[in-house]
Amino acid sequence: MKHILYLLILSLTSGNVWGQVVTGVVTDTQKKPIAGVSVALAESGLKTSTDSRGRFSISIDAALRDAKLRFKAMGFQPQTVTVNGHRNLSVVLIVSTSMLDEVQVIAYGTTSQRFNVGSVAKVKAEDIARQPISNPLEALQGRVAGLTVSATSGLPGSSFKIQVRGQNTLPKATAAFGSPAPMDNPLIVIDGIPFAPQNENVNQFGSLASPGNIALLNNQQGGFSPLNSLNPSDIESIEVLKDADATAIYGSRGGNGVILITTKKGTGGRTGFDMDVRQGVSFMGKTMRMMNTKEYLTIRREAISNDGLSPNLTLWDNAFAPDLLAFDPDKYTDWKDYFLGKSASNTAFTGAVSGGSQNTNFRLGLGLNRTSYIFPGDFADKRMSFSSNLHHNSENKKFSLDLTTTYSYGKNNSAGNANLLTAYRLDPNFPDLIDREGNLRWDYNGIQLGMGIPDNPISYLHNTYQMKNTLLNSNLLLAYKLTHELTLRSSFGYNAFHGDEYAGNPFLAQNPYLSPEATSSFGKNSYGTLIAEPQLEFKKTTGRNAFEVLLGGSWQYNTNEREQVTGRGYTHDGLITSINGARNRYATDAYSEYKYVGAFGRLNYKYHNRYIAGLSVRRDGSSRFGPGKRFGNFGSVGLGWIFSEEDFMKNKLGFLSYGKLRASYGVAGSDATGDYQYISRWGTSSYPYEGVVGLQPLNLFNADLSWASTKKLELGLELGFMDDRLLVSSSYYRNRSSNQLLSYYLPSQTGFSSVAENWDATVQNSGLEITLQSKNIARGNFSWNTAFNLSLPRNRLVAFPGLETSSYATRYMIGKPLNAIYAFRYTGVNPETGLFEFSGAGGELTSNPQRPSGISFNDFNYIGTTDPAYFGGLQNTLTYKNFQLDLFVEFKKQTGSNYLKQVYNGAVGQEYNLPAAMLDRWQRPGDRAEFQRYTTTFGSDVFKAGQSYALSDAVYSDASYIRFKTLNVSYTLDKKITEALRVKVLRIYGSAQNLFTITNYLGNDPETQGLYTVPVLKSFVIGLQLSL
Amino acid sequence: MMKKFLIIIFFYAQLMLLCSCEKMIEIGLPRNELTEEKVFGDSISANAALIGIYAKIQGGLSFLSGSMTIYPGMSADEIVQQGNNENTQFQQNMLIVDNGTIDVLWTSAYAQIYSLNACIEGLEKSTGLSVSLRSRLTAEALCLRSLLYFYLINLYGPVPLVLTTDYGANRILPRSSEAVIYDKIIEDLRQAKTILPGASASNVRADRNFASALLARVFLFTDRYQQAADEATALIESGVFKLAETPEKVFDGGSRELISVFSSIYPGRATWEGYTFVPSSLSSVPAYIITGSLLAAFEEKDLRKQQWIRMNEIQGVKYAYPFKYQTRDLNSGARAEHYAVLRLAEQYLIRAEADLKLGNMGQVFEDLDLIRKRAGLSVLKREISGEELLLEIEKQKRLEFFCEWGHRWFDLKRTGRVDAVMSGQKPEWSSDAALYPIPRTQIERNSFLTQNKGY
Repeated sequence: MKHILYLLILSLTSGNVWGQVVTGVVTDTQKKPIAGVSVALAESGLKTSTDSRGRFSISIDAALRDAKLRFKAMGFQPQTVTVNGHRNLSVVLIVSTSMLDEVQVIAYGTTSQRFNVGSVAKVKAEDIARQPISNPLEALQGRVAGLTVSATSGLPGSSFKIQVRGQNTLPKATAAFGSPAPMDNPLIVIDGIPFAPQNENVNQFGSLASPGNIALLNNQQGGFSPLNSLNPSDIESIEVLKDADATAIYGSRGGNGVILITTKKGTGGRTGFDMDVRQGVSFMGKTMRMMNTKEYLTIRREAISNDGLSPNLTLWDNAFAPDLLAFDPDKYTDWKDYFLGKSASNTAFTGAVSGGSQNTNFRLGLGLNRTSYIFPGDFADKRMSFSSNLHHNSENKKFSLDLTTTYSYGKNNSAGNANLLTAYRLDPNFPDLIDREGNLRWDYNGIQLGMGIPDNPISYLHNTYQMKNTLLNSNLLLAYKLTHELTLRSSFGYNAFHGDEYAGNPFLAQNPYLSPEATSSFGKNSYGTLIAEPQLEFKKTTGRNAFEVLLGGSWQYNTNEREQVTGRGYTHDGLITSINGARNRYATDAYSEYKYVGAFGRLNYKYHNRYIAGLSVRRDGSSRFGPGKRFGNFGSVGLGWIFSEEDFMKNKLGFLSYGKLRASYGVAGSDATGDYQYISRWGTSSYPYEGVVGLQPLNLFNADLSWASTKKLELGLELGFMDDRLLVSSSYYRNRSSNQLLSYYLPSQTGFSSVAENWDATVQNSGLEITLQSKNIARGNFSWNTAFNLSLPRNRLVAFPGLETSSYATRYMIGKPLNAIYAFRYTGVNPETGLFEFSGAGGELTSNPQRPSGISFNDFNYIGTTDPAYFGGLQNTLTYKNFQLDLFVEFKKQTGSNYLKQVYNGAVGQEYNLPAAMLDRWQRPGDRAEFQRYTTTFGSDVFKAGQSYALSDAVYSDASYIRFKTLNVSYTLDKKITEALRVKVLRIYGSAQNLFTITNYLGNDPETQGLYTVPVLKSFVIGLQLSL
Repeated sequence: MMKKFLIIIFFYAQLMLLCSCEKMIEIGLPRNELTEEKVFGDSISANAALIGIYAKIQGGLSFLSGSMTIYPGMSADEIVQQGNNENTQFQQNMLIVDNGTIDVLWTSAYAQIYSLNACIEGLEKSTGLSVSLRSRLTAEALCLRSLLYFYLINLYGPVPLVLTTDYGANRILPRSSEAVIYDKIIEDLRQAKTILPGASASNVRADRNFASALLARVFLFTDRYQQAADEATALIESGVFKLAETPEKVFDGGSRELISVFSSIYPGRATWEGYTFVPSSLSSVPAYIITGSLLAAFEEKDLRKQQWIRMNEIQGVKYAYPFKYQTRDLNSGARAEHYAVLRLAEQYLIRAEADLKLGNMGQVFEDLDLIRKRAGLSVLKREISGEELLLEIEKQKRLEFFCEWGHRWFDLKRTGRVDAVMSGQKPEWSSDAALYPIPRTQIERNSFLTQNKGY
């Protein structure tokens, strides 16, 4: 607010000007002179500019007493001054409010979009604040061109898949629990320190959010997100660095892009208090209707008779059908409503104090967040976070210190049994799960539950899961200005994430007829990152030349320690949360270390504020490679031309207020492979044999393992119109990753399923990104701003020498995307046999197509890709007087797997409920139906055709969507009222997240995909924001 | 000025630290691991490397603990499992190439073969070990590798014969014929026999008797009857082993019948068979049920039926399950049981069959009667002969070794009787089902592998 008051101050000295020279000085509001300000006489176009001390002089025709001088400088608002007879002018220019001049955080420094030759996108605190979210990654969804963010589940605390500009590497072998998702993740840096767990799932045990590699649940990458430990309200901005110029300085770590998270800092001045409290509810939106009892019993009867059987009560018989013979045929329970129908509540409080004096300022923040589950029971995800920031500089401003520390504690308790996610496919006439005495029912009319028929799913709710985690992030930045031009800086950071897990399987959760045993597991998982980065910075401006040189080094040390203790044979459920009551105990641990060192130099050169060049070189060393292979040299070059500053442009195209062409090219290394792959390792056996602990080989090693590399090319054009009210930016990129670090699939006869190898395969990601920022209307008390971004990515495998004979022969095709879908071509249901049919490789129709084998694709075809064709977001902000309305829409065009992939996982017609959409099935010869005949027999021809169907293009369909992601209405109370209340700002707001989604998707949710993944929830929130 | 100086020194020190680059990225192995050189650097660690293989076998239900009983037991006519899942394919003899279990079996067998090859190579390269220890541990590894290959070829037919750790060469190895692999097994076991000690203090690791007993079986499987009879005789006459008095006592702690056993290592559990077959209580339904055909094959007075099979009656239905191993959990008072790998009774039956084939009738009846008498059955009538006697041997082997290491399945296939026996019991039987399919992923990853007929 304050500097708005520094309006143009024009001190005028009196005097007559008849054919005289007018001189003056131009300064900023801090009274510092501004060099290079263009001074033009509006009437004649006569021009000059200020010198390094901000001085200018210009001759004015005597006739023009009312001559107007126009002052323009980059980064400042243009001003027009009427000479009005004065001979000596003192002009103060106000810092521009152009979006081009907002601070952009980049690697080891800041810049502005105006002068940046790299590709950087920014999401501001206010954009984050408008969304009632608890994971900062969610705030990025749809807001950054080139960044895909998708939720793995709608459950609180669950992880997000993020990727900058596509998959660069051939994915690793299927990930086990807790290990990184098999996809490229950008580097996540918080206040200059690489975030220790990155975007890894931090859980070691399975749970609702992390069901593991179960095809039916279609959420292999699900888990708990460590970023959920960050309080979004503590974040000042999130910058996404994409191209070679922007990421080169992070070396190999930045090969897949970088996400820089910057926390809020103290602002100095009067002590201020900020507070925000909100309350909301969330629930599942529209989902597929399941069959009712009548429909269900009909198809069950049909499935059994289709197989030539008749329903019976012989356990383990294919026609065993208690649902038809023993259960009440008139009973109906909506199990989806029973298990997923609750509305979850969310409560969040954040508070912050900031202030300080001229040389020292601080900010302290507190955040509390609690989100409950849509499942029955007392499940919740809670977080408490503290953040602190201290800045100090010496009186002479030569020495400065910044200390940032955030600490958070999170606790999640939910169910450990992922089968709960499929519980709603229970027979609609299944008996009550709880008997009259309030106990779990395990038999009904002589039928044992869980024996040939579903378990009592209430038991899954008693498989307790708990995760407690703490995050400490601390960074100390010391800087000393040796001379005006030379600054020494050192940053030291420590980041620690610790997770404590518990998973209990009490007697209560187990079928008493099936040999129950009470067990529990305790897990600890600690990540640490230590980093030291000394730097020397040199900045000099001489005339039109501006240099910036940065020399520095970086040393990083990562550790991960894990521990698991399992207890079995408890005698009582009351004891299982402790290891002491276990008859048998078993403990294991795991360690890994990673060290990284880099030395780098960066040169930025700017000439006349028009021509910009950036050059960086670096040498990286990584502990992931063996002796002699550890170091690699990489670098990048970036060029920019602000052509709108050229005179010919200024004269000809006045409406163009800004125009920049930029290009960058660079090579970055990648050490994205496991630790210790270059050395032969032997571990210990789980248990001693005859009192001796055995030793066992752990890996196939490859001593020649070395750096992979990614070559990145980017071309960009940025334009500003009408004094930068409309900014359009477009970029084309092409990234090529080669000498890929593969975990090459091996046949098991080699002893292992894979080995780390460098493979000369090349993957290309290219694409076009367009962003638009516009101040459509800014008039009096009404304004309307729009922001839009669109990405058109394309991924393909360019080269893979020896692909045909490799173990990837039927996994990839040259020229096709890495995430290609290879599947059978589904043609329809044969009206005679009632079986699904597919078109075979020779064009013939078959119900028993051949899957790929050896090096032949057989009847598989390239169908398409699950990569999005395009995606983006549209933000509109309207303010009128004290009202503000924010609308944000996210869209994505993509193909995804639909609910049929899960449904045809088993024999369709067995004892579990199905979506009502599947009623159009083949019943008798001649029928033309959407789905084949039902069956209840594993291994039958119908079953096999169903299995082939699950591998056909029929289970992939349009998963595009337009999601009304955020609707936020706020009202700021009038100054008169707030002043009376002695409050600086008082704002009330209401917000809706994921209000509705426009999609043709076959299934519950096009983002999380499938039938049994929890869709992204709808939330409604009201809140109050207060500043004192 | 002083301050400035200090700051420059501070910065300079950091830069110097960074410049000693190679050191900055040195990391040690994880604290719970050793390198290969260290493993074969001293006798205690080298011994532990061999122990690691037994620990892997017994650490869970694996290829050589439990699996050879369960899956071939289902493929033959011994047991059926409860529940309908992909393992039902075993009892239906309708395995598909995507069956997860056949891949797990294949993968875990070859993982153990890798460990053994790594031991053999590590011992060969080692300089810090005595020659006698090196050759003894190598011989032990050869025994275990032979056991693995014996079961691999009996499940899958020809398989790749992997004898080194070189993954570059091994990843393209095609299948070797059963004859070639049997020859290698015989060569290895013969070598092991000359090196390994005879009566070791305990039989929990592969020793000379292990090699002999397996050799006798392999000779029988390759129709080398004289050698089979000789090996069996040598073991029987060594006097080290003795048939237990009653079936119940065969697997008991004090049993002298067991030529080779694996120790139990999983906390709270004895044998994997016991844990798998014995339900936790009399009111629990067993996971695997003995087939009617097997139950009917016993005479009522057969002690093996009385002592090795138990019934749970639940809601009026009787479920019979194997009770050779009685201990599910090692509660206090649980019976101490040994997990039998090779036992003397088999040697008598090997000798009887080999002798019969050789026309050497001297002790065929005596050998069979020993087994029958122990089961409480009468001695055989001496007038039966030829084919009939061969069937009696088959029957005694079936009843003596039911639900034990897949003997029934492998014998039926060996004698060529599998089609005749199975087609009578399983309506959809096809001769091709005698071999399990090569798992799909294996062929995908090694295009030199061929698939078995019928898959």
